[in-house]
Amino acid sequence: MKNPRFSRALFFSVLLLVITPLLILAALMIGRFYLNSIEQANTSLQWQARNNAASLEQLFFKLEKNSQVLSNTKAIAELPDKVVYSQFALMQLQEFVNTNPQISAAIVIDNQGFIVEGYPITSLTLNYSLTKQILENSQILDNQNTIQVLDNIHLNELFTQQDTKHSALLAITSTLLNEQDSLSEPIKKTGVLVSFIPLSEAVKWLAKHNEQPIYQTGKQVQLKVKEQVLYSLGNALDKAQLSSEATINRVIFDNALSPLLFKINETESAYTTAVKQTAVMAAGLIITLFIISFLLVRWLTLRLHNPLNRIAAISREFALGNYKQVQNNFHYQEFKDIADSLNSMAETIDIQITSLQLEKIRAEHSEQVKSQFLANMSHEIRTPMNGIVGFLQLLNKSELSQDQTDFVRQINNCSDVLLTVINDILDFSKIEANKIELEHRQCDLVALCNDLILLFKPSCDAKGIVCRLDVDKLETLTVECDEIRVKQVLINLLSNAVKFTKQGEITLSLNVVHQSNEKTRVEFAVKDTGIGIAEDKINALFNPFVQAQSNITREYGGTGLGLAISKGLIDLMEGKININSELGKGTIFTIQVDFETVLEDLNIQQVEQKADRSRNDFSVVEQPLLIAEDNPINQIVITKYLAQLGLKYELADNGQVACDKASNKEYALILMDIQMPVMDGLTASKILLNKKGFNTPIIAVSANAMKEDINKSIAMGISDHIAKPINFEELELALAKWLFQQN
Amino acid sequence: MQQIVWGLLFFAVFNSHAKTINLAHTMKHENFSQLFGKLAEQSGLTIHSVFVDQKALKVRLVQNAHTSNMTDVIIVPADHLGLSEYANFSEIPASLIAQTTDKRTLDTARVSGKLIGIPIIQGNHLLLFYNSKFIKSPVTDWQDIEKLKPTLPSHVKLITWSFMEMYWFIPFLSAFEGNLIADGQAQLNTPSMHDALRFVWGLNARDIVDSQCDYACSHQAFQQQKAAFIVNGAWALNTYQQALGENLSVQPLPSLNGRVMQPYYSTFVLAFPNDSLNGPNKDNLRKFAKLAQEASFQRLIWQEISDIPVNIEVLEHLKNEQGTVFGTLVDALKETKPMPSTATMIIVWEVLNKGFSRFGSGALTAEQTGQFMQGLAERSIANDGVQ
Repeated sequence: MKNPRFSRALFFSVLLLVITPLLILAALMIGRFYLNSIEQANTSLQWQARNNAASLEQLFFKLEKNSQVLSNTKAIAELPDKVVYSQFALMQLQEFVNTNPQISAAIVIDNQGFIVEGYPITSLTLNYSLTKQILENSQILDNQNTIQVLDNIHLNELFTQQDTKHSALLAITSTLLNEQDSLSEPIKKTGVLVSFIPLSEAVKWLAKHNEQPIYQTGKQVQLKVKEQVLYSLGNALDKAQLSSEATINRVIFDNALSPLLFKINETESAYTTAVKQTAVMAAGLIITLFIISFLLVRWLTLRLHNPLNRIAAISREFALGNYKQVQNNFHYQEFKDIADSLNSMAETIDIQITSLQLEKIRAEHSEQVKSQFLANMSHEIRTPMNGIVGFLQLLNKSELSQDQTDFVRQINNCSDVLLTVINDILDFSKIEANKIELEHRQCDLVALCNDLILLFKPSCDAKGIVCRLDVDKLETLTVECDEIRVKQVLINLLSNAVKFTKQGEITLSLNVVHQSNEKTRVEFAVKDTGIGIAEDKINALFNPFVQAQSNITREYGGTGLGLAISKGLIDLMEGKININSELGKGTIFTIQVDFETVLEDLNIQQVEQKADRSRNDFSVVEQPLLIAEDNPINQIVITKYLAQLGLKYELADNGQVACDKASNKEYALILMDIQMPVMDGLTASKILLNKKGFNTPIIAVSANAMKEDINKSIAMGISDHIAKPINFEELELALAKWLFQQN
Repeated sequence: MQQIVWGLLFFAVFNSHAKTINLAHTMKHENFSQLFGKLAEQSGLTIHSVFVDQKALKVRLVQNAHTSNMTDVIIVPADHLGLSEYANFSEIPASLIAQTTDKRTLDTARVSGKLIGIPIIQGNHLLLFYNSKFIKSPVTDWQDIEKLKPTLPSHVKLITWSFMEMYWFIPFLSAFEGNLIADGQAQLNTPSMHDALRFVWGLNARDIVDSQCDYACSHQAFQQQKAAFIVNGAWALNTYQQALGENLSVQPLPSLNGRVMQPYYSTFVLAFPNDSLNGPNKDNLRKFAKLAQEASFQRLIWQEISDIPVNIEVLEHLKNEQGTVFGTLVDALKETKPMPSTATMIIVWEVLNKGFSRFGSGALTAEQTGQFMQGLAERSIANDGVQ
């Protein structure tokens, strides 16, 4: 979850504490203002509606009166019974219409509802059913004048000659009464005078009478009866609107008395403009305040943000280990204090780091000393061991009694064990120091396993246990791998198996788990029927110097480094090693490693090389070998051995001597010790190899078995390297290789 | 305007001397004044003649009844005599009627059995004029006229007449066997009336005739040879002869559905309001009345204003003199019927006019129209106390 930002928190705080109260206050004030405006608007509309309704009533009254006057004239009153008055009545009707602008037509209808005369002429075309209805409705108020609503669009168009949309007509009726000389019926009703008033004309009069427009934008004036709109001025309002209405009584609609409603609708906006303006001003003010607050907060945030960013950057620098002093030029005291604290912290950490670095240097130096010590120890042990082993080999080749032969063999075994211990310690120290580098060469793993079985068969036979190889029908399996290290791991496991198995069998199995053109996953398994390992001990088994049981060392011997070294090497190969063991029944070590697949098998050359060994005849070498060796014992061992091989030789006690001799005389081969007084072997070899025309093979012979030493020699141009104590078989192979190869 | 006219009349009455006659007439003919000029020369009388619109004259006759500001004599269509109740026309003694006056014309001047007018012009009967350029032979039946419509150029009307004037409606009513008055009673709500209304307005609906084309429109269209037929009065003969020349033909109205279309014929009469014939100026008026019936004046009637005189001798002479067309005009009188001149007729004309237009506008059905006309006419007749 992302943490809130300080600047945002500050901004929202200002918003909450300043803008929000302002907003609420403005909303309350505007709301109050709005309600007052609406109340005033309602009052105003009500007054307008009442005033207009009263004015209309006044107009109707005036027109009724005029109509009444006309109806009382002889020509009009008697017209339905005296058609000869028609022409005169027509003139009177015309004059009546012309002098009353609100009246668009006037007709005289007889007691049957027929029009006797009318003006304008279009009025004569009125439908009989309509005039009959007007006549019937005129009797509702018992011979009084009536105001009738005629909601007939066509009628309006007929009189006004224009499309007045939805505008009804009013018909004012005045009963025509004729005085006659009759006792039974002194006054006879002859018909009705009907005056037609378009509501539009009435509303026009209203505007003129009130001296102000009835209609304006945003307003709608309606004359209604029984929810039916008779006349509407202004467009329908679809926005929020206010309404008010007033009634005009004594109006007949739909054959019954029904009040005429004068209704005014007006949009709220007409009255709320000031409210809107105030709201807009308030909004503008609030937005301005908001912007100012925003800018203020931003300015303040930047004032805080920059130092905070600098502190964050300093912290990141600290995290990266750059404990620099902070330039304390902050504006605010709080940041100055933080900077002081950081400076103090940086100073302390810097001291601590310096101390740690010193400690590290010391540790590294100590490690180097330890390595050097190990190297020295290795050299110092191997040198006498070389003599011991060498003399033992020489002794073994001499004529000895059976007992002497046994003794030599026992001594030889002891020296092998001692060498193993030394090699284990060296390997472990290399692994610890990450100084082991794997070499990748083509190797037939099936042949390797066969060799190992052959290697361990004698010791197994000696213990009466079966030693078996299971390669799952594989004949060859050539991969790219460090053969020596693979062999070392398997030897460790097989050694342990032989060591901890008293009866039964030992099986080395080899399987291909998966193979592609690039990789071949190989599984080695070493299974024994030995003493097994307790489950709780298994996890600690790969720790150095650990053995399953403390008494094992006493009973079976060993340094306890074998499995640790094996684990280290397998890890280096990016493989896995697993143990499956049951106490008293046996153990299975399983190794899975991905090797690079080799598509072409090169084993033939190796076989041929091995086969050559049996044919070596060193007596044919005429030139002597130069042996550069400072140790007299080793000089004896080597010379004796070379003599046995039939080779001639000369000695040099140090590198300088060897260099001088080799410069003056041609030798078949130089065996060069590395550590020598006056001039070491590497320097001497370098001088010789740099000489023009020098092509004598140099085989380095050194107790320095460290990999880097060997690599150093090879890189310089030294042909081969043989470790001390010298294995004569190995030496013979090397000699054969370089002497005969050169020849 | 009318007030000025009547003011002049009033002035004339009170400033008259022994040989002065104040005369009002409704003749629109421009030569009518010259006619009286010649009469004045012959008689030695001073005649103040004034033209008055017919409608205005009717109103004034009604309004000024029993007042003394009436003129001595009026020359009006005979139907105006129906206002005698208001105008108090003098009864005409038989001795004042010339022997040469066509006795048939006297029927138009009788009201309630009394002769109250002296016919001086007769005719006014409707004829069928046609343009020989479009119509090659006379028609015998109304349907023949309608059949000719497709043969006419598009700009030429088939037939026209002063559609909204009821005088032209009478021949159609007669073809449906209708009469406006029977036994002194208005007969306006009859099946004949209903059928006649439907037929005439049907012609308009079928675009045979244009209801909006009034007298002037029709007259002009025929003169300009933009109408093949026109139904008009005999008075138009001279005008059409001048306009169409040899293209003019005239015939009596054709039959309609095998029945004769009978127009009214009427007369212009001398009438003496406020019983002036028995008043202080009676001698001059009697002299004037006799002169108006004499052959010399009667001949002038044809010569100056192209109307048919009532003097049968003059009439015979003119028939021989004027030829076929005039003969047709006179002979057509035989198929006419006299227009009643009773007071009832005035009411009937008024009512018929209203009913006709009301039906044509669609406001009333034929039956409602009949009902309206009959009711209004009966009430008016009853209230006027006339027959």
